[in-house]
Amino acid sequence: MSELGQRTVLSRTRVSRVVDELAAAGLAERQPDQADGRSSFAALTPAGREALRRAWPVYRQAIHRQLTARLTPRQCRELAGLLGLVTATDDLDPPVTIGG
Amino acid sequence: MTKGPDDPAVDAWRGLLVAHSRLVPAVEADLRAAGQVPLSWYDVLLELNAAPDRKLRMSELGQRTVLSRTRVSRVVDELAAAGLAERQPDQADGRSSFAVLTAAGRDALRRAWPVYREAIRRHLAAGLTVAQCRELAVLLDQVIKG
Repeated sequence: MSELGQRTVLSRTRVSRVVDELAAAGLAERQPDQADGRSSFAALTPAGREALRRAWPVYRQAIHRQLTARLTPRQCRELAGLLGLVTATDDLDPPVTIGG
Repeated sequence: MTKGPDDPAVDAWRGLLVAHSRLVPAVEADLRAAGQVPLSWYDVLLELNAAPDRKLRMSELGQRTVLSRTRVSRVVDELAAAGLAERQPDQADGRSSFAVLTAAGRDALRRAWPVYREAIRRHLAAGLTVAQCRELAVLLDQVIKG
């Protein structure tokens, strides 16, 4: 679950809630971690894979409708590159307190 | 998110989601650490301050901020509880109401801005040159305006 929190754009509490929703819908399962009782795994079910496969063409088309209508492929690449620079270099140190 | 080989639109979309998910909490944390108003409050205070007589209908406020209509209403209640804004009934339309900025609200906005600006520099602008910041703003503007 902790890995999932790091990899998705969701907060840790939100990830946990989404996994519960996925489990209720039969798209994922929670599995206990034998080695660490406080930790657990989320595992994809075949129905979850199927849902992912079905969603992707619709999702991709929606992205294209939003972005391709407004930016050229070259501009999309530029935007992705610039945003990549932003997220690659942002330090996660505690903030410097200003003013107070 | 899976993706096919080289799909610039999907790469840009992923960039937007990741940047948003990282930057907003980081900037929010800086504001909180400095004892300033949260971003949602800031957004509402800023629009009220820019409005004629520093007041807006709740519906106008919903259109101008990045918040949903229900969220705007809740934020105005929070601002009112903190003394930073007031709700005023609309005499002409009983179902509608205004949000008005108070003097304390203006002050909170003024105090938050230097911290907010510094947080933007720290989290967004640190990895980019000025020219790249400008380019990013132009591209995002194009996405917003269509």
